[in-house]
Amino acid sequence: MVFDEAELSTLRALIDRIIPEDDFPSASATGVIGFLLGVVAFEERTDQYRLGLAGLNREARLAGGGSFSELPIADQDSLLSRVEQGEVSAEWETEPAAFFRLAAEQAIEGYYADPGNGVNPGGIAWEMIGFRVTA
Amino acid sequence: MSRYDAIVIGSGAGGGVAAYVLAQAGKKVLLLEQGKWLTFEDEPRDHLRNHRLSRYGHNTGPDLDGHPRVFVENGQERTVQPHQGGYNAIAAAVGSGTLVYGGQAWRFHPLDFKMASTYGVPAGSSLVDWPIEYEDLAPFYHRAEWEIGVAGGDPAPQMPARPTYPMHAVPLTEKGRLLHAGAEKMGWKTQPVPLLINTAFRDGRRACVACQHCVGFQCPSNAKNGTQNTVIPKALATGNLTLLTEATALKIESQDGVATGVTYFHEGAEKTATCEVVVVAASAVESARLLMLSDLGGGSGHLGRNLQGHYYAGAWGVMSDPVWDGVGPGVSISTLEFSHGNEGVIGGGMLADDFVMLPLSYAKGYRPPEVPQWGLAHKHWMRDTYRRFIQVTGPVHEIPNPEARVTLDPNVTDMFGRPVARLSGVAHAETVRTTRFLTQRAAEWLRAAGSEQVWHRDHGQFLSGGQHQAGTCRMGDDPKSSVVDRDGRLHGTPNVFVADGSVHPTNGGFNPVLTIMAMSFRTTEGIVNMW
Repeated sequence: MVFDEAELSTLRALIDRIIPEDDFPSASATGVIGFLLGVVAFEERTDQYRLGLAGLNREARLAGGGSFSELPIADQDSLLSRVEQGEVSAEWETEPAAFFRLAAEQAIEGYYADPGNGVNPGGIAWEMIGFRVTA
Repeated sequence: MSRYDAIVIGSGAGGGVAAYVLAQAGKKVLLLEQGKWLTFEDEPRDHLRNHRLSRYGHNTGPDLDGHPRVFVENGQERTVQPHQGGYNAIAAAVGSGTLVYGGQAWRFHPLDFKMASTYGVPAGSSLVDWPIEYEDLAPFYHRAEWEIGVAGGDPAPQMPARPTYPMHAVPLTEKGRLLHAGAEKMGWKTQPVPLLINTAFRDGRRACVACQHCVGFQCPSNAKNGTQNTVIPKALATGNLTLLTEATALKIESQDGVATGVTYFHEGAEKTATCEVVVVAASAVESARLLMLSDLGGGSGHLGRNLQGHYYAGAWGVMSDPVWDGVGPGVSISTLEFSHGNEGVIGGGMLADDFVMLPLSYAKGYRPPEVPQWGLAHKHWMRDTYRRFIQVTGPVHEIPNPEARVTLDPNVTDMFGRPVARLSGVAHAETVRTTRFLTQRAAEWLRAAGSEQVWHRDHGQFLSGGQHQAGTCRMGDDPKSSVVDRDGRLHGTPNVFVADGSVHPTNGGFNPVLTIMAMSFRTTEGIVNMW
């Protein structure tokens, strides 16, 4: 495994704010973690992700949490909004906004991609938006 | 050493037609294709790895390893692989781009051949007229329309009369109906989009099954007419064609200014075949590169220059009710009102609706500025607007810039140790102005069709090539300012011809594939007639 348990739990919390659960599932519930492991390895971005996830946790500790995944959801969202704008308080060893944009882009790729990518089981993301394959 | 009458390099729109015309004329032909012969069963329909969205790979060749290019942007250069931005990939496969294209089958407008004399030459551009006119190409357009197979309706009122197409147009989609009503309001004439797609059983193959994937993917019913399922099988049936796949042309051999054969790599070894005639149709980037590697065609200094493709004008809208019917290919209505005669800009282009939008493309590329990239707001935007989304888009006739070019990179080599293509420069500023003009017309069309919210992206200056790449071996009568003559023959080399988009002096305000096919019919019929 490329990431350890703590990193995976941060990654899971992150992508579930990028695509949260409503009456359709969140990103982590449709296989996006496994998808990310594949594309992160393919693009050799493991270090960027590891440093970004560590940055999120340092940011969360400054915001009064133990780690990012332990913050209340509303606090996770406001923290991510700051990171998206590059307005960080903690030390980051990778560019925070670039990391966040990349993670958001790749989580969304996983969520809406074809089921052949090991995501979107039964085409549930396509059902949500109304895309249908007839032939 | 094998001996052929002619060797054709590349099996796409130009090369496939060339091999067919030559083989039918009784010539012994070798067709070299770098890619494989792919079938729909090989096709995983991967939304992240296809010729519409190649985020992590492609559904055709070239392989990601061993075929880099160097891309220069804002003074920074980087080595890029075939699926990455800046590479400007053309599908490597039998049929090349015609295996996975959308197949819009436009004739260029008569004025597309006369851009310089119609508009003048803007500073910094190399804008020229073609050495031939629409009327010279018309019979070959007709041949391409019937022998490859086009479905469509009557010509636009802005176009000359022509014989009918062999097949009726694809049906108007729900979005098309709304756009038709919008155009009526504006007083704009519209017509169906001609497509190289069977809308009836023809040539032993089925009609389009109206699937949602189409452009960027192989066709599930083999109804999309590419060279791989039309002219190449017919050429093979003559017994005169030898098709080698996974065969890369390395160099055109020549002696005293005359080509003697082609050295290529196939099945693990370099081989040389001799021939009387070489037809280069490897795409605008690779044809120029191969000629440079062969030390041919460089006399004018124009070889590799004037690289162009198509900027896309376009606007996006959201209707109040769902308009998605999912009927593929999805492109069904067009207007040629803005192909020419536009106040204050040079040239113009065709505008049309588009292929069925894939969810991932929508999620990644079409957000209005106020929608965030993430969170429930993004998810709700996807859910609430995907079926209400509508767009108008179209290729802009680019104004060539001699500084947009292909050269040989001094440092990076491919798997065979040859210098790779280095792409540098940007489109001419006039191309951007025309794009902005057409984008405003697209937005007007959407509003007239009932879209209250309309948005679009802005365009800066960037290198344009992509799937419509052209211009690097421009055709002209003067050997000092062009690479091939009006017959497609390399100035200074009597037996090397170029038969792909490279020869286009300008690339039209339309998808260029029917023009590439027609030009190849014309060039290779010319070869046969002179032989």
